[in-house]
Amino acid sequence: MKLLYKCRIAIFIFLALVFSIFIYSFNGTWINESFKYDIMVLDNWSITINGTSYSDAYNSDYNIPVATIGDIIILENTIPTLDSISSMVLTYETDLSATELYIDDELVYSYGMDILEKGDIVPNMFNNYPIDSTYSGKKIKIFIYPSRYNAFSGFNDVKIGNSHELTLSFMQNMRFPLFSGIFLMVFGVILRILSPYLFFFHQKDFRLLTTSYFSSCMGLYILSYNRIFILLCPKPFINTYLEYISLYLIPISILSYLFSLKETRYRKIFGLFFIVDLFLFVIIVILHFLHINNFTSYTQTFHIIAITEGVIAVLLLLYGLLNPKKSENNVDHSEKIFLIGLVIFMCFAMIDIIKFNYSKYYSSGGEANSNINFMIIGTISFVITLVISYFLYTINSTSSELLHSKLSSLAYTDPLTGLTNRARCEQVMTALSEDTIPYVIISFDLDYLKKINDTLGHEEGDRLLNGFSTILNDCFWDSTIIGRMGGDEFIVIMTEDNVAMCGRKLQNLRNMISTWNKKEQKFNYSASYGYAYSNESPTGQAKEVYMLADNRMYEMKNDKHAQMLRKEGLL
Amino acid sequence: MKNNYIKVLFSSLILIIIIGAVYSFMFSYDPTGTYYQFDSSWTVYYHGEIYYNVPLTNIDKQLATTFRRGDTITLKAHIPADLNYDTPTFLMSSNSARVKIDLAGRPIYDYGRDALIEDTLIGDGYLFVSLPDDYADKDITITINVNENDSTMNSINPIIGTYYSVSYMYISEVLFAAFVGIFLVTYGTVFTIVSLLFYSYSSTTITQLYCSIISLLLGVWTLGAYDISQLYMNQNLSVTFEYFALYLMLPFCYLLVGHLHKNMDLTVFKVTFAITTLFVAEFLLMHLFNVVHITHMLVPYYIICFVAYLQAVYIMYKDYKSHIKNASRTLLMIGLIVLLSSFVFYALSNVLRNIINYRINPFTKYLFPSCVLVFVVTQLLNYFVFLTESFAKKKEYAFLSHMAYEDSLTGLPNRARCDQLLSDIQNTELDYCILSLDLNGLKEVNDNDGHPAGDKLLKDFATILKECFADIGTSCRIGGDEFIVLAESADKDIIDNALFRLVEKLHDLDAREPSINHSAAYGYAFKHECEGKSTHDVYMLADARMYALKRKQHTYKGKISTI
Repeated sequence: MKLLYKCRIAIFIFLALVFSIFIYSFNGTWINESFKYDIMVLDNWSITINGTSYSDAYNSDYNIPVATIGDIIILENTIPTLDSISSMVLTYETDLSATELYIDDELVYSYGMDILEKGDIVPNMFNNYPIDSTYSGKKIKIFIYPSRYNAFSGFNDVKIGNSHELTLSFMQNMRFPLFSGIFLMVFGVILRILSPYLFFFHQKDFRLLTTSYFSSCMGLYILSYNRIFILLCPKPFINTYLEYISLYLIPISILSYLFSLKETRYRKIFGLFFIVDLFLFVIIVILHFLHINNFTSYTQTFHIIAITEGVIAVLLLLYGLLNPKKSENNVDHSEKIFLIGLVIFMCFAMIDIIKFNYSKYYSSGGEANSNINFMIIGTISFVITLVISYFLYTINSTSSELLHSKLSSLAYTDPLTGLTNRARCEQVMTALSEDTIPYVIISFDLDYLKKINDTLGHEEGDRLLNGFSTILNDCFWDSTIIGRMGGDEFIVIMTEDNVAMCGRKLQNLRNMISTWNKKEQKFNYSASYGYAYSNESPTGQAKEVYMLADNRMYEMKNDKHAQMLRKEGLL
Repeated sequence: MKNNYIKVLFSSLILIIIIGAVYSFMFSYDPTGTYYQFDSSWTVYYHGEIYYNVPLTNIDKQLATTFRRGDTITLKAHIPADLNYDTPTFLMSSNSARVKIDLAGRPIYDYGRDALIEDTLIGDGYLFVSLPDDYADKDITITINVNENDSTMNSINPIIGTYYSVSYMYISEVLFAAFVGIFLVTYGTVFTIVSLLFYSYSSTTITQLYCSIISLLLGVWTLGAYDISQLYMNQNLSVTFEYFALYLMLPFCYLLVGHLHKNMDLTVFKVTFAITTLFVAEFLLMHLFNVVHITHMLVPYYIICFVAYLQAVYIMYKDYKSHIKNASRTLLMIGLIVLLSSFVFYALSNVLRNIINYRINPFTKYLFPSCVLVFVVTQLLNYFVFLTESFAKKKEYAFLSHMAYEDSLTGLPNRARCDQLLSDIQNTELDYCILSLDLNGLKEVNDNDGHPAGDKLLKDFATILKECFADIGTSCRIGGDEFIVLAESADKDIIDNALFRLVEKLHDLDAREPSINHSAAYGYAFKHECEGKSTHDVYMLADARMYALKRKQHTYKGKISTI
């Protein structure tokens, strides 16, 4: 066992290693396409913000304040000598800002100015301006107008290169987010399509629904945060809208998942969080459509709420995982592993939020240099736990099948005699009532059990019961059911062809009892019985047929009693 | 149940429609005015002959030939003078051939030259050719050096436009396949790794392992076949990946079908599996050692694929006929058949490439990725069917264990449970006490007043017993009229008190129903009374005391009746 366990650990470590090498090599450059042209990054910008200039600042090291609506940021530089590159562009990224590009003091390109004037949020954008080698040495001036409070901090690189190669190099750098984002998105969509199955067949289970929302929100967020959507769909506003909507919906989907778990403790707390978050989200959407406040402007509030709720949720979940209730000991591990995945994800997501805010407000590089790789890793581990929990489910249910068959035989047999017990007999009778096949029910009452119990002791009584059940088994071996209904009551049900055999079988039984009695010294086997056919009851209820058989059995018993009394009277 | 299926189908269908609508809203692209398309304006020079006005979508048919290695085709067209696009880009597609493009005699683009010289496999896919700024009103010449026998040279109709419109056109063309392919690769990787982790646990994980590997291969193939991988990786490498995935898929499909039908007699199947595997291994090795390129073996590969397809259909038919139904197997087989059918269709479209070009045809553009997706959906659905089944089982299990250890009439723990409790307590150091009770007169009530009255007497007694000993111990019914109370730690006073209350309550019942005799005989014994002996001995002692009391009660009753 221990060796096996160690083997498993070794396999696990080995696979983890293979997986990380796989991810690493996949993210590495060996499978990249080699480019014909160089991609040039422009450095040494002089920056002017609202009149204050920060000249000669080195790239990615500008220690400038966070840009806010109303600011005007001017970046100035000189284009160096350019090689002759076909389809050459100058490209730079803007975050929630409008922009104008001047070359030699002539306005050549602008983006988002009309949106800015309307007072709306300008979506993130890759700005591309086609240039050629004649632009060498010209002066370039980029104006940036943030469209939101705390729109961004730090600057992305301004690059010059071949248009296709710029796209390819972007995509090659984004391979990891691209794959994980699309995977999560499609996974969410497929789960969403399948979720009605679980909903209708599995006790109105919402878990799949909430998992699907979480997965697609994460996928959309990864894709839009990394601006991959800008390249996939030609409508820039979709990327920004999706980025914020999916971000706001991530905690809501997690909380709704926790809320939809029926067994979790603190369900009420999660439910409360869920309702509060949902309420805030609805308010944000309403405010947006009333043009009061744009829905992108709540990132800070969102971060504060997410961190608070995240910390509480992680602590509660960890506490629940570490201190399982006694009754939860038997709950299979799949759910637990799923929760562990969720905890990992939440921790990683919080790390990313903190990292993001730190780099946006305190570090010199600004938000432009932050990424959400932790969140992606968290999501991937979440998905892996999802898969692991799936495997545990399948393994559990195959092993529980064995236990199940053992239990069902235990539940449906009388422990003393090994005959079918009362519960099972009643089930069969209900089943027979719904069917149309003919059947006969024989009710038996074992005489003298009480007497033998009281005079010879329970052990002799048990012997009587066992002996009688053996007789029944031998005689009615081909019947549908032979059962013990109570202390000294037995039942036999025969169906279809055997119905006609009933009389002969009872004759057989009498013969058998007398043979057994010849061998038995301490007591006498003796039973009263009565039988009834299914067509004797007008309603076809097996219970009624049984009652009828029971009554006939009592008649026989009374007759015996009377006979005995007569005998005694004769004596 | 049937109603539920309809509901599920209906809601899933509505969801698919909604998602489709959102998809087409988000990713539709209207490129009007930003590009120029070359139609049949090409002049083709081939083997010394000149063909005029050839559309590139159908070169094969127009030239009435398939191309062989070493062939050179030269295509010429004139770029109109009125084109004036920024970042001008020329887009065409190629098929494992070297493509050299000259603009007015000046070479501007050369794809696959090194590979041609080294005789390795040249990638295929879309070629983005950046044009110099002075491209308008010039002749464009495309020279194609065919590198593979029997290859097709059909291309899309080339276009010229701004880079961004050309790029969005390309993306919107391949996006659906890109989503499916990328999803499959990640899904396959994650599931393969995890199922390897659980490999030794159960046979269902082996099924899952094969399914995941097939998904991974399918993903790689889709990304290659629909020319998506060139977006993020080296084109020559991606085409090698694509064909490796395609070839490896078949043996794994065999393994999956074989694993799902372990109990079936599959001699023919096994033989074909072995032959197929040998073929595939040979193909791949020949490619690796650069003897023959992998693309040359496509036609024989399609033939063995078709054989496999026929066998899978036959096995599916046998499944259908057989009496043993297995929902999960059926589901997976349906997914596999859908997948293989789409492959047969793909092979046909490849063989009949003059009629259908699967990349461009709007039907096939969505058909193959959808079929591939169906395979994954059946896998996931299989999981959910499993989930619901195991949930139902768990509920039944709880119900059964409840039934197994509970007396159905009184709701008290039954004999089986009592035996368990006794054996549990056997090894403890506790000074436990066993109380044995026997309900008097049950037989008489049963015989005189009928079984319902007897059942009521039992129930009443059980209720009282449970009430009186709720805080003291566990009450069980171990036989017709026999009961036991097992008290783990109680002293004599407490038990005497409880028994006193019990007798009082029985008297109350007597007062309410005078026709029935409510009384019980009882006796108890502590562990310390028979030191070093088993619970059975303690019980026997308690039972003996109970019988002593019973006899007393009898004589007492006899006295009363004589009086």
